[in-house]
Amino acid sequence: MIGYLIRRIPSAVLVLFATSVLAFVLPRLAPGDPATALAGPEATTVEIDAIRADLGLDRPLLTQYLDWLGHALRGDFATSYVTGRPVVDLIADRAGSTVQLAVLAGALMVVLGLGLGLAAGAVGRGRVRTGIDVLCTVLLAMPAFLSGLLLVLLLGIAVPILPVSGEVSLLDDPEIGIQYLILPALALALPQAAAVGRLLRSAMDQARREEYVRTAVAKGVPARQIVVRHVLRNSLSSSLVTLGIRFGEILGGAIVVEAVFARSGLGELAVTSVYQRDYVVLQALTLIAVGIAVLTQLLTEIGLAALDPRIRLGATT
Amino acid sequence: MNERGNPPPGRSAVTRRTILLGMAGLGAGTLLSGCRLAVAEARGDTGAGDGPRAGGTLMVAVNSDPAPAAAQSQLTTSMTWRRLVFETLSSYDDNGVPQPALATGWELGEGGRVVTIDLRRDVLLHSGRPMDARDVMYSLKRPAEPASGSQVRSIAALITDMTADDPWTVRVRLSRPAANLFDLFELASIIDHESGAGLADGSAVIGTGPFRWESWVPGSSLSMVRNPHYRVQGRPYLDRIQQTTIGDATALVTAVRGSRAQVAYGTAPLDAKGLSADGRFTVVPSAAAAYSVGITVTEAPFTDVRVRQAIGYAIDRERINSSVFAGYGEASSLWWTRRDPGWSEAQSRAYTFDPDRARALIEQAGAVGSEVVFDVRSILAVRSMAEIVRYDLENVGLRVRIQALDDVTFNQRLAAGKLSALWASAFGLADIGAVTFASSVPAFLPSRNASRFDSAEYRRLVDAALTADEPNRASSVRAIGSFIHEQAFDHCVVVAPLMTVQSRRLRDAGKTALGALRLDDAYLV
Repeated sequence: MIGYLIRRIPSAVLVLFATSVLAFVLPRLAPGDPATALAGPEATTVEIDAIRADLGLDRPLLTQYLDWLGHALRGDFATSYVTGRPVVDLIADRAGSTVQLAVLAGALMVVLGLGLGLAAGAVGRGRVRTGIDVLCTVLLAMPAFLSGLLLVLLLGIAVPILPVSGEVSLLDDPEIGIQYLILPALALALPQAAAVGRLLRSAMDQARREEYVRTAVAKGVPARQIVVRHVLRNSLSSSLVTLGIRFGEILGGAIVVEAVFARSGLGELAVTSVYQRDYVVLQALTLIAVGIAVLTQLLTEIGLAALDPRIRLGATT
Repeated sequence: MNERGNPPPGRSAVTRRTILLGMAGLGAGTLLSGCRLAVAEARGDTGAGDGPRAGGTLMVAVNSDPAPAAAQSQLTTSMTWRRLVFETLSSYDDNGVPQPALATGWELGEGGRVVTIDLRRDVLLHSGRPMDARDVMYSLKRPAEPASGSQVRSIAALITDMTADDPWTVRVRLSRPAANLFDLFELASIIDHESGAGLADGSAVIGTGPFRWESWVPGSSLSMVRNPHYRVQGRPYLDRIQQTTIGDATALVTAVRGSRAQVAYGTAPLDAKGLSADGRFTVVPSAAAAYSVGITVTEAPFTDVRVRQAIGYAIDRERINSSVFAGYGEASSLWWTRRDPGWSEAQSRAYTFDPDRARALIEQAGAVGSEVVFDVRSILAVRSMAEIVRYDLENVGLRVRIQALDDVTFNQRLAAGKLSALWASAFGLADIGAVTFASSVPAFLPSRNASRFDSAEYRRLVDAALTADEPNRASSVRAIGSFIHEQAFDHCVVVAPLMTVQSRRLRDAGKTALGALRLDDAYLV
């Protein structure tokens, strides 16, 4: 296993290196730079040039890249051009908000998705099934920003029972913090839960037609037992695979939902940094995001290799 | 339990599921009844308004993240805190006359080339040290630095020498008289000279204002607390001001409607109009901006002045004011407001909607069917304005292709004079007066402007206004307005204020002449 892991490391390092180059180059291809953003709307080119020199942005690109990479390897992601604050601090300030939102949205997606799928899949047909199908279709067609706005109108303005703007950290005040989280998490989770539910329902429909289910029915096994022990258990694997993908989409959707509910998370930081051409913040965010993806991929491969010896053996040949 | 799920005869209908559901419901009910509700906490206490009351935290939602380095700039990134943390030497009254603030008086000598400023002696900085001449000299010099982003940098750059006769007297020598000197005094917040470098990252933001800068989380929030040593006894009333950055226009409105904030600064005009019908809120105009259409005079067909003038007649300003700015603005051909002594009613109506005249001018110039690229700053109001302008211009015979540019790209091209043939933008200096406007905004600079309009006469007129004495100031400003109208390298469309929506719980909130938030006397009920 250790050998398998070691063989995976070079490709991971290569991905991270390529990412660091892309993250450095791509933002610089856009017109304008942090000096223009800092100089303000009434600046002349002479003043912008002076700020550019102060920030060291007039140095050769290779020098800037190597300088940044050297510091990044030591965990120093430089100082934001626009705010003058260490990038690590800026990201740490925002990470908690996004993590709390993503984790609760992920949990809601699992619970609601499996619940909807099970409720629809457990009954062959009928009004309940039709109702859930319609609900899933509506939710699937609804982007996160729309579900967010509808929740704001319904539970924030018409019947104001939950806060619709801002945030309180769960770590600071769990009782209030959870109330600030519910609506944005629900807005994020609903479309994804519908997708998971629809997939589970399809898998259960397919499983119902399998021989072992017919045998169980013929043997007189109670319907509930057939659903839980045979149909559901054999349908869950495909849903579990999709949960990972859907969780990635939750993180993507968080950028929009953070804007709707005025939460200061990583998505909002990324968008602001793009507008202000705050290169070093974008570089750090990109590198960290890809680093997490690489780590997740490695862990997945390790897990699969541990479960399936053929992967390990295949990898050694 | 039989196959249908019904209880067997003789057994109770209360199943295990019913009991569990009942217990869950009871538990949830108990939990909720003892639970603090975030909506209730955000709403806060309300009470009758019978006079000022001390204490309380004011929640302000702002559409731009505070930038401490902009402490001496007229930008949305400083409007909501600049006058709370800092004060200035003088401040304009409603008639545009400078009144003493941190200065007790001033005296002009040598034909306006030397200014002697007397300072108050009872002012403490937030650090606890008495404010003195060193802080004033540092603060008057700082706007000249590019990193300050200040619009009065051209005035600060005139300072050739500053000396302190004593800790409370500053003598400033200028390279030439400056008609707009008090614009510098109005905008140059007095900053602690010992910690001025801390403005770059917000680690030290020390002034003399009624509130002390406590903490800033970039892109998220700013906390300010009451300055107990403020020079005005008993002020301010509020204990704390908490500002939250909300860039999304809908979320900004939601914050004030949902009682998260008592003030929403920078609300979209149409949103403000909607909230004005709600008795819980008042809508207050703030700093004014001039929304204009600029023209590159070296690009065909705008090399012909008749086509440039035709643009002015083609635009339906009143429609833009009502559709985009909900009627809060003023359709005007002048880029400055009535505050400027040189403002004139006739000049503000120099170009009125006359599509027939515009069409005729374009035909005379042989420019019918010309295709022009229209660069548009990516601000909601500017984009909306540009769509109407495009319609109007196509109506008089031009073909227009809109190109939206984000702020940074637009500013870079504006500064470098590399915008397309037409462009739409907004300039936030409308309140500051024509002289500073024409000598600070890149689109109007006499030396090298974004329109690439080069004229010895224009340079002469701006120079004359910059050095004009008081009796001649109004006429010199009118001469600039008249010349730009004639040459038509820029057309003002609407002068409109930034909109602030305030809860009626907030009383006696004010603003400076330039629209910066002022809360010395404000209190919550």
